[in-house]
Amino acid sequence: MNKKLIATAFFFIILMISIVYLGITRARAGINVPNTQDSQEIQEVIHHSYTVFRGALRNGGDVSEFQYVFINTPDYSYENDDVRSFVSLVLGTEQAKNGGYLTVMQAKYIAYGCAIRLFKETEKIAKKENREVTPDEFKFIQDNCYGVFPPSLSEGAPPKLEFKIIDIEGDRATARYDDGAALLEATLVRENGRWLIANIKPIEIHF
Amino acid sequence: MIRITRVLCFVLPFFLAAIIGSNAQSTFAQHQNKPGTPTSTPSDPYPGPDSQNLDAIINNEVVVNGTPYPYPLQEPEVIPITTPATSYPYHSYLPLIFKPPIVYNRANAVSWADQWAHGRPSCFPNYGTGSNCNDCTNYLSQVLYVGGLPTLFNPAWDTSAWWYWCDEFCVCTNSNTWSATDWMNTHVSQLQGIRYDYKTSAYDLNAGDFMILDLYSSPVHGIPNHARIFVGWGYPQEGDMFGNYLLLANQHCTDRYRVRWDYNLGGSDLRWFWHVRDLPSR
Repeated sequence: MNKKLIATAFFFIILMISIVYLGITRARAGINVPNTQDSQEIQEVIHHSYTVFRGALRNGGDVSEFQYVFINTPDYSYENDDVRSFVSLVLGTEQAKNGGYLTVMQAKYIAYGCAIRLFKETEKIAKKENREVTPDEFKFIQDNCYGVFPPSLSEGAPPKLEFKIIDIEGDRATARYDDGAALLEATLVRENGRWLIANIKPIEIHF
Repeated sequence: MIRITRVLCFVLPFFLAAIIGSNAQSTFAQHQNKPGTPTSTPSDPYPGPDSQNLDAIINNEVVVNGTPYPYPLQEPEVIPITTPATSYPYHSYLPLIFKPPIVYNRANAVSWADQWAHGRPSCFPNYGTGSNCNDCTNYLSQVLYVGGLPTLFNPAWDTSAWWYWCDEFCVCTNSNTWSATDWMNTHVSQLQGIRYDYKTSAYDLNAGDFMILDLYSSPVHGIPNHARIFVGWGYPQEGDMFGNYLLLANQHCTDRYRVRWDYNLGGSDLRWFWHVRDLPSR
């Protein structure tokens, strides 16, 4: 009888361990995205952020869409003085003083968009004259676009985002998602009924 | 009670076997992607461009994460890499009058890039190992230097300089342009048309050329912060898309050996493609 009891207890313990293990595995997979209207809107605004970045680069630094995606809040502070100086250079000291994530993104994409636009114009002229863009022309681009050098636009479709966690508390939310390059955490706030990104920071970079 | 025990005895082994099986499968999958782990890639890493996979990429048949893999814009140039990195730049030590023309040896550059993709040479600057280190640009500078680009000394420590120096105990120091990505990008842009050529596509680059990145996921926004070295066309040895004939790159931090050139790059990462001139004028 004792042996049967011990066997029963043993199997129950194993059963419990298995159930706990399955629970932990599922938690590690980290799928905790509620199926609500807010959650959908948060996912959409994060998706849209990738589109507005590309749009700004393609349209010569037009960042007019940014205010519908990003917002300045104390959730973001300048990483270092170089970033602050760069924002000052592009948008002015006053804007840099009160800047947040929106301001930094505007400064960055105004500068890069400007450099891409000038490079394309210069390249067109150079091609007409059957020559390469000269070092002096590159210097001209840098001098006129806040010191930045024109980057290349990424090819292919925007990345597929894999949302892991969306945690909503009133008018604030945290979204953790993977864009293929990194696991990121976005802080969002709701302003006038619209979710806006107040900060994005990397949790784990895959490089 | 006894009946329950019997049922459990019958069911539990299957249940546990299923759990252990799935765990082993995922461990195996992780092992497959582990750096340095032999993979199921073909034995010849440098085959010609007539691979079936190349046709598949051109025809957009290769799909990554539901998106057709970006097609190469031109027939790839294949550079056979057979020469070990044995010849080192010597221009700096010769009087001006005896200076031979500078030649960028791509085979040597790629050989060094491959040799030290997962290691750190002892008598060069070292900016750490692991995934959160800062060695990517230092690694790039080493590759360019071993490829034959002479260092550029400038006491002003500005972006026109590009050098490293190690004493007899291999305690090293270097210019900012040697190891800081944003400084390096500025330095390279100043030598555009002299030592480097600006390109707008990765497919304009050859083995031994490089790419500088402004990663969206980097904590510091707005400045270039990462670098990768192109090592030519071949089959990826790490990362993904094993068995596909692709343009490959190496990098430090995280260390990667022969991954597809855009492995793990996000759609919002800005890129600068730089071609090293075969006969730089300086």
